Amino acid sequence: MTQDILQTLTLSGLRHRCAQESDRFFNRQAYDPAFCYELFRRAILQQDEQAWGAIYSQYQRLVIHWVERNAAFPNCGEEAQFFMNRAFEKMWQGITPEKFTTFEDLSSLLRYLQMCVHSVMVDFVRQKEHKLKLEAVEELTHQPPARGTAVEDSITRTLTRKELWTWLQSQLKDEKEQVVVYGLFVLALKPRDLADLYPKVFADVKEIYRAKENLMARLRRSEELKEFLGDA
Amino acid sequence: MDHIDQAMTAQLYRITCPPSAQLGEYHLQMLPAAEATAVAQHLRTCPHCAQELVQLQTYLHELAPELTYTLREKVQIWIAQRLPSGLAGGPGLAPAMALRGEVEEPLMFEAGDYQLNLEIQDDPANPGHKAILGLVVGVAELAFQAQLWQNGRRLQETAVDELGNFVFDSVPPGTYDLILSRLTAEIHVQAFTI
Repeated sequence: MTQDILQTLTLSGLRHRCAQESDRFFNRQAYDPAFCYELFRRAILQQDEQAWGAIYSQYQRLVIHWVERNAAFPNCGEEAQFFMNRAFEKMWQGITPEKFTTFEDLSSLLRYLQMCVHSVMVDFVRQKEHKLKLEAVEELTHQPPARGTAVEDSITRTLTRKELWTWLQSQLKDEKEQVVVYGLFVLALKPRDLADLYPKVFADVKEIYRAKENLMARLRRSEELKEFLGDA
Repeated sequence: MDHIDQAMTAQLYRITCPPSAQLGEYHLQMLPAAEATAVAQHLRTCPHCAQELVQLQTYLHELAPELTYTLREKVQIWIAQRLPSGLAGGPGLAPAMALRGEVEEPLMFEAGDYQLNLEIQDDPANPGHKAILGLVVGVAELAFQAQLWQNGRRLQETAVDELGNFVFDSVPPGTYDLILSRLTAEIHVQAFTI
């Protein structure tokens, strides 16, 4: 197949050939990936929305299959279609025309799409974990978060978190406190695990408790921290 | 753990972790050097990201055989070239099913060893729609499927009979692609308007 023919084919012709070759692929027969690769090339390099649509149609069954095989999927409580859509979105955003040149063949593109499937599953798990931590705080304080739009809430949360992180770093006196904050609050590790991870910083786990107590005693007096945490 | 402990954990949990896609691109060795170094440093201290990376490696490894393929013999594709009216006529190039309504000038095409004639007629059963009567000649063994496409969508499909004839009914006016397909060869008639 010369590049000339590939680029001469209309979207219909290309999609037809991509479908034919993909059918062969699904039936475990030898197949020619050049047509499907050309669909990606037009979609990404030429920003051809119809080519994007063709890729979506062609690969949605495969992507759903990949979602269902991901270890995080069975207990997530969401439809596979939801993750499939997010994975395609992630790929569209991730592969710029400049980046496309690094994808030498169809396999590398599909490998990226598989990575995107895993990525959206990870995002989902991360969000769930974060939500659980916020809910645990709400239960303790009996204060539901202020209601805004989802986007506003998300932006505000991100800003507040980053501001808190920046402020907190400015309050830390030494490496021990830095590691305590990073290990206990950012990584949510247990003190024992933190001691194992940083044997050069802490002689034993008691040292971690001491460093944390000193730090927290100082922080509890801070009005700024109360503001950040909403009087937690 | 008191309220402040929990509130700080809730606010700061994994705030320094790279986005999952960046972690994925790190694994696929797609990141610029500086970014890759930063992610590698983070991975040394973050068990969560390290675990996610292992999960990704396992996941991609499990799916890897699904991406392997072997190249097959290429399909011969001919892009049909339109012939001027009257050039490719002859007694053999008239569709068997003709004259169902008003007939437009036939469209003649040449594609490798094949010749193709498309006759566009009004479809009497569907006012405002057309019928496309096709005839393909050139080789003894035909066994083609004919497909009518528009804007990347397949609209109709029919078998080409042993004499090389095929028909598409109820076709609204517009621009279409016609694909004649068999196992090892295809003829593409691109962007013809009826």
